[in-house]
Amino acid sequence: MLEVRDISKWFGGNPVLHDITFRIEQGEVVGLIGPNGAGKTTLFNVLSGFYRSKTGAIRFKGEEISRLNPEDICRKGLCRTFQITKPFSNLTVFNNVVIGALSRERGIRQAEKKADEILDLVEMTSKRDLPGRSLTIADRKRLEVARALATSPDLLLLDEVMAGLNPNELKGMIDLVKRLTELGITLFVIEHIMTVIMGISDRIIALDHGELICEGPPKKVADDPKVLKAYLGEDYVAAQG
Amino acid sequence: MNKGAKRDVLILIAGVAFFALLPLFVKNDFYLDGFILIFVWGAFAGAWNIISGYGGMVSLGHNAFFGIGAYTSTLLFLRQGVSPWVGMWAGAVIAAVIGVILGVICFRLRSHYFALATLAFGQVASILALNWRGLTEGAEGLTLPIHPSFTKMIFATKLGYVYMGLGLLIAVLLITYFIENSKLGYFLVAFRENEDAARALGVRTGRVRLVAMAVSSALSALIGSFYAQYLLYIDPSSVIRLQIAVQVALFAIVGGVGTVFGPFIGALIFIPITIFLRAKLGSALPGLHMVIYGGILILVLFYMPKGIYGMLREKYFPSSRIFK
Repeated sequence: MLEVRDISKWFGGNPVLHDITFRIEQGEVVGLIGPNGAGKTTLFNVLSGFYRSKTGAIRFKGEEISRLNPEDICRKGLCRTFQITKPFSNLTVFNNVVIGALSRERGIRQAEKKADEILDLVEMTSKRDLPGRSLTIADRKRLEVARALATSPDLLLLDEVMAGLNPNELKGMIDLVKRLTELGITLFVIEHIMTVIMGISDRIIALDHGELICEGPPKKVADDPKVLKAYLGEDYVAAQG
Repeated sequence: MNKGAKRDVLILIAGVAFFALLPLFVKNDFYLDGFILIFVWGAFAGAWNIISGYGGMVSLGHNAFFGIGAYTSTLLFLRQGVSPWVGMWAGAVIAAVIGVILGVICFRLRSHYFALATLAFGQVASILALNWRGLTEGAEGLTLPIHPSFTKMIFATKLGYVYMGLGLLIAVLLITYFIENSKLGYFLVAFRENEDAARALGVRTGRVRLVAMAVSSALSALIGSFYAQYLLYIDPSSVIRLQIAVQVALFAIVGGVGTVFGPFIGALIFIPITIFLRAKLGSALPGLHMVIYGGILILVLFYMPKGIYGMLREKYFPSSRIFK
């Protein structure tokens, strides 16, 4: 589904991503972990077209997309959510989702029908007519997912949709993510909460200082000394050793 | 049709009937002139609203498009004998092309920087009109010979202008209503609310704004042509000076940006004030109407940030599909 080869990103003189190469297969749930500043969100920005990589290639469904704009990448079926949520504040929850649906649907009517289905799926029907600005953090995150879902993505990039939620809200979000996989949507998920990411991912990719340091099944990545070092420091690994 | 929708349709019909029939009973040219100005400015503010209200790209250069319309139809008529009915469309096409070029260059600028760039553009247009004497006759202006005839779009009585002005206004309102209920309208608002989120959801924010800019500039030019036919004399100060751009933005903002009827409501409030002050004060206190404009603007921005119509709509028509 997605083939990323040798992409790099520099902010001025700082390398934030360095020669990243990996693949995501159809139907997989892939987790992306790494300490703060590792380059996770930057990687999402490159994949979704908000940043350009000067090197390498990104192939999505067999097609080169690394030179496309975000809006065209979305229309090809690769959609992302934002870690810092960006609701259309003055529009209702419903119209937020309608706009997501409009890039794929032919007319307003069809988009409205789809939006209601999506709101039902993400269990936000009761918030349908509230303005985006009035939502709690948990609902904003849910709205991010709902809007992205409305664009009918094949691959969905979820950027920390579980951060800042209370245990109850967290459970709801995990259920939602599981439902997405049942719909056949391939997921690439940034998440900090280890138990969650370990539980939902088929495979995990770990970044540190812009380098891909480890990749594999959750268990393997969790035990990898390089990952432990990135999160907990040299001393911890030595002490465990 | 539910009860609320029925009421809204009745109000709408009553409103149209009021503005369509009242001029028939007004015999005084002074008041008829008021109607024409309300329609012209209401329509122009509505045209401005399409890119600047819905799209949030605040333009302070729409005087240029208004002037392009006025000068194109007038020059084509004076120099080539082309009927203004045709000339006004030529002006609309030229304005749309220039609007799109301006958009391609300036849309990368955000909020106040875009406003400043368009302000400069409007000033350039105004200076060109003043100094390109070979084309525009500069400050001497251009005079249309008074030979009333329908083909020359010169009407014998003010009533003709009243109805053509009303027709233009209704056309702008219908186009705005249509845009608001189309993909274009949704995408414009999405861009205005949050550009990154809109793009991530597949909204082609560049293209959408260029279309809105083309429609907005073309409509402004059509109204400019009509205004020239009404004045029968144009010069840079009457159709293209900076104050026109400021005034049209002011009307729309006070009335309510990003709504179908707001800009018209703005004109409906301001034009009578202007006319009244001019008649009462004459030239005793020149510029006083600008002071009053400023005062009203400050009060509205403080107490009704969504504009007069924006506030009324929220209060009386919260879920109306007509009053938007």
